[in-house]
Amino acid sequence: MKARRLETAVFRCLAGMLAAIALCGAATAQDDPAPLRAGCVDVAPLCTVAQNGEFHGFMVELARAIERHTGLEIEFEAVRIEDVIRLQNEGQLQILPGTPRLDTLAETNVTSEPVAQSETRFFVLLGNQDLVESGEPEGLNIAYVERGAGANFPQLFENNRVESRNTLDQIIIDLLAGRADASINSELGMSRLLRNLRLDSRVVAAGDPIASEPRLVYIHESRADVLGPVNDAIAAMQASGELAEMRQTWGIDAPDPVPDVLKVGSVGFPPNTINNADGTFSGFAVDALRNLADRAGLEIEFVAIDRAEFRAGPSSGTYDMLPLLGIGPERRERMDFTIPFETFPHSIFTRVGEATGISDLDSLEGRKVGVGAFNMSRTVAQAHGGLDVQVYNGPAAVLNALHTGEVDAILFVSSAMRKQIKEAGLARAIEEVSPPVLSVDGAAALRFGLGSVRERLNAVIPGFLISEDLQDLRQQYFGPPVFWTQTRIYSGVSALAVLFLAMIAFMIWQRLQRYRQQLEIDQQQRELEREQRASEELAKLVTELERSNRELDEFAYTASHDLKEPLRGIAINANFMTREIEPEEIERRVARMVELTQRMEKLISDLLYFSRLGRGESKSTDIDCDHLIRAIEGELRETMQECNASIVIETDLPVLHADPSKLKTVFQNLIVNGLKYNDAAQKAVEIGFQNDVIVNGSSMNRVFYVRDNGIGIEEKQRDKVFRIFKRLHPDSAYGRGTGAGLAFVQKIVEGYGGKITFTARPGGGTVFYFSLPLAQRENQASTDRRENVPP
Amino acid sequence: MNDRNKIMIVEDNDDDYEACVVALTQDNNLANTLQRCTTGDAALEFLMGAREGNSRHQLPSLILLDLNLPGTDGREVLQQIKADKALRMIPVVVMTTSKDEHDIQDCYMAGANSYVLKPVDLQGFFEAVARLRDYWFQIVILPDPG
Repeated sequence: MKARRLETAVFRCLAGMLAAIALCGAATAQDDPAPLRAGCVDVAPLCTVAQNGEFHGFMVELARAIERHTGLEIEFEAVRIEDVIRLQNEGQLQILPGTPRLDTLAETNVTSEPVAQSETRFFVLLGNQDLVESGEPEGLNIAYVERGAGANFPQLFENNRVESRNTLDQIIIDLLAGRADASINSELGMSRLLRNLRLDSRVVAAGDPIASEPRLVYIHESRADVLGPVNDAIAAMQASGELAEMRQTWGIDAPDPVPDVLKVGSVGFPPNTINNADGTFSGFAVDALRNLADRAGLEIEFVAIDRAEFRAGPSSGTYDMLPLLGIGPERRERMDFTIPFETFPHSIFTRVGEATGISDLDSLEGRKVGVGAFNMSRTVAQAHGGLDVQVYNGPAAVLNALHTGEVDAILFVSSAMRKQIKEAGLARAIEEVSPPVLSVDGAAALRFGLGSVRERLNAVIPGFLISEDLQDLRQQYFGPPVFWTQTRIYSGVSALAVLFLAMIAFMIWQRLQRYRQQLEIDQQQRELEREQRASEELAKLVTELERSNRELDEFAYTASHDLKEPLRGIAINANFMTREIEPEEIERRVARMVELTQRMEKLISDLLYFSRLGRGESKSTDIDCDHLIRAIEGELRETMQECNASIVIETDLPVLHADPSKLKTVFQNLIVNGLKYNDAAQKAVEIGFQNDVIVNGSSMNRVFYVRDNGIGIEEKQRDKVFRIFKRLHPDSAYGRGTGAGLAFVQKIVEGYGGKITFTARPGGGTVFYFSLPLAQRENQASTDRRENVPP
Repeated sequence: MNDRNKIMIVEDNDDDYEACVVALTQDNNLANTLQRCTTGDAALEFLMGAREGNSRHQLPSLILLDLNLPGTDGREVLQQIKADKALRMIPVVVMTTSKDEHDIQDCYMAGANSYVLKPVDLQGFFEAVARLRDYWFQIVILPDPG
C-alpha cells in the first residue's frame, strides 16, 4: 500500500509539473490533471474504510488496477450510501467502479464494459432448495426487499404470493420462522449478511440465478474522456485473468457450491504446514485440520500453494481452505474463519542489550519496527500509529533487517521468530522482549460459500480443544511445553528471592527476639543478683548490727558492773580507812586501793582493746606461724620454767596473712590459758593445723588447733567462756585476770570471717579449733598437705 | 534472832564481802552465823550437802546472793535453789550492782525474795544491809529450814 502511495505521490508530482509547464507555456487546454474522485459507501466487500483510514474492497482494488493500467489517479472518499447517487449525478464524484447498473445514474454518466456480474438469486432454508430448483416456483410465500432486486420479477407474482419487507434482516427472520418460503435477493449482499449472522449454514442460495446484471464502472460525463482508457484497462485485465482473480479474492462472483472434497492449501510454513518432498503434507495445522475434518465427517485433500496464493487466501476456483491462519479484520472481508483453536503470540525482538525501556508497542513509538508483510503484527503495528513500520517478506528478511541494523526492533510471531533466530544462529545477538505484546487468534480459513463446512468444523472444535489429540499434536510439533518460560523463571526467581528475604528477615527477627529475651533475662538476673546482694548485705548488716548491739549491751553491762566493782572496792576501802587507826590496816587498805586502781585500769584498757578489735583497722602481712609461736614462747619462758611447761608445734603450720599483733593475741591467750588453768605436773600445749576435722559434730576445714592438758571446761560453761570479763574461777583458784582473753580471741577470729570452737572435758584438757586467713600461696599448698594429726 | 538463824553470803568480791560482814555484824553477834561462798558452784554444793543431812552443813535461813560470780553465776544459783523443793522456802536476797531491768525481772520471775542494789558509798551500803538484816530477822517470821 505504501509503495502504491509513493507511486501516487510521484505521479501527482509529475502531473503537477506538467500542469506547471503547460501554464508557463500558455498552452491550450489540456486533460484535467485533477484526480478522479470516487465515493466509498462502506459496504463490504465492495469498499470499506479501515481504522487507519485506508480503503479496502473490490472497488478499491479495481480502482488501483485501473490507475496502474491507465495512469489515472483515483481518490476515494467516504460517503453515505444515501448520498452517493446524488453526488455522482452532480459530478462531485466522478467515478464509481464496479457498481451494478442503476437507471438513476444513466442521464449524467457514461458506463464501461462490465467488470463483474451482480446476480439475483432465491434464498431458502437449507433443505428447501428443491422448492426453487426449477426456477419457476409456484405457491410459495416469497419475500423481497422493497426497491430491491426482487421487484423486477413480475412473472413470479402470478403463481406465488410475493411480498416486500423493509430490511434484509426481516426477510431472514421470516425465512427462519417459516413465514416466507423463499426470498429474492442480490447474492452478494445477502450472502455477506448471512455470513456475518452465522446463518449462512441455515439460509442458502438455491437454484440458478434468476437474473444477472452486470457491474460497471460509472464515470461522470464531465470526465467521459477517461472511458476509453478505462475500457482498455478492463479488457486487458479480463484477458489476463486479473479481474477474475480480483472477483474471487473479494467474493464478488457467486461462490462455487460445496465440493465433495475440500481443497486445503498448504504453503509450507513449518511447523504448521510442512510440504514434504514426497508430495505428502504434515505439520501441526495440517494434522489438526485432518483431525477436525475427521471429527466433522468432512473429506479434505491438501494441495501445495505458493506464497501469492497463500496471500490471496482461499476462493472459488483456487482452493477452499487454509488449515490455520491468524484472524484479522481485513482478512475477514476476504474469507471466512472457524472459531479459533490456536493463538499466535507476537513478541518484540531487539538486538542484544537494546531492549532497555521496551515493553510494549507504545514504547516503540518513533522507532523503526520491522514486520512481516502478511503477518497480523503488521496490521496491528500500522494500526497503532506512531511507529515507523518497515515491511519485509518472511521471517528471514525481518530478522535480517534487525540484525543488519535497518530497523531498531521487529514484531513477529514469537514461535516462528524464535525458530528463525535459532536457525540463523543469532541466539546470542537477538533478544526477545518478554512477555509477548499481542496475541492473535488462529483458525482454519475458508473461502466464502462454505458456511455449512465452517459450522460442522465449529461443532467439533471445542471437543478437539480439550482432546488428547491436540496435546499429542502440540507435543509432536512444538516439543514438550517449555515449563520454564521466561515469565515462570522470573516469577520463580522472584518467589525465591522473596522467600530468601523472608527467611533472612525471619532469622533477623528471631535473633533480635532472642537477643531481647537474653537482655531481659540478663536484666532479671542482674536485678535478682542485685536484690540477692542487697538482701545479703542487709542480712549481713543486720547481723553486724545485732552483733554490734550485743557488744554494746555487753559493753554497757560491763561498764556498769565490772568497772563499778573495783570502783566500789576503792570506795569501801577508802571508807573503812577513815575509821582505821592502826597504821598496818591503813597501809593494807591503801595497797588494796592501788591494786583496785590497777585492776580498773587493766579493765579499761582491755575494754578499749576489745572495742578496737572490731574496727578492723589493721595492716595485714604474711606471717610465719612457727616464728610467731616461738616468739610467744620466748616471752613466756620464765613462767614456763617455773611451772614445768612446754609448747609443742605438732605439724607444719601455714603462712598466714593477717595483722601480726592480732595473731599474737590469739595464740598468746590460748597458750597462756592452756598453761594457767592447768593442774598437771607436766603442763603441755600442742599446736597444729588440720585440713579436715569434725568438731562437736560439724566439719571444719583448714583449722589450727591449740590443745592443752589443763583442767578443761564444764559443758554448762560453754557459752560463757567467750564473754568478756567472764571468769569461770575465782581469783583464789587460778590467779587473777580480767577474763577478756577468749573474748579477744573470738572477736579476732570472727573478724577475719573465721570460726572458733572447742572440745573439753573437766580435767581432761581443752582443744580450741579456729580458722585464720591463710596467705594466698597457702590456699593451694594446704589442700595438698596431708599431715593429719588427730588431737 | 536466835543462833539457828544462819546467813549465807554468796559473794566473790572481798571488798563487798567485808563491807557486808561489817554491816551485818555491827551492833550484834551475827558474826559466827555467816557462811561465805565465793562461787555459785560452791554455794550450791554447800546447800545440797546441807539438804542431804551432811552434819557439817546447816541450811541457812537467808541467802544473800551476788549475781556476778565466776563460773556459775547468781542467776543460775537462784534458779537451782528455787527449783529445789527443800531449798525453795529459803528467802534469797539478790544483792547486785546491776540495775538492768532484765536482771530484776528475771530474778523475781525465778523466785528471788528481794532485789537490792549495792550502793557505791559505804554508808549507804551499811544502811541498806542493816535494814535488810532488821527486816529479815526482826519483822519477818522465817521458816525453820532445819
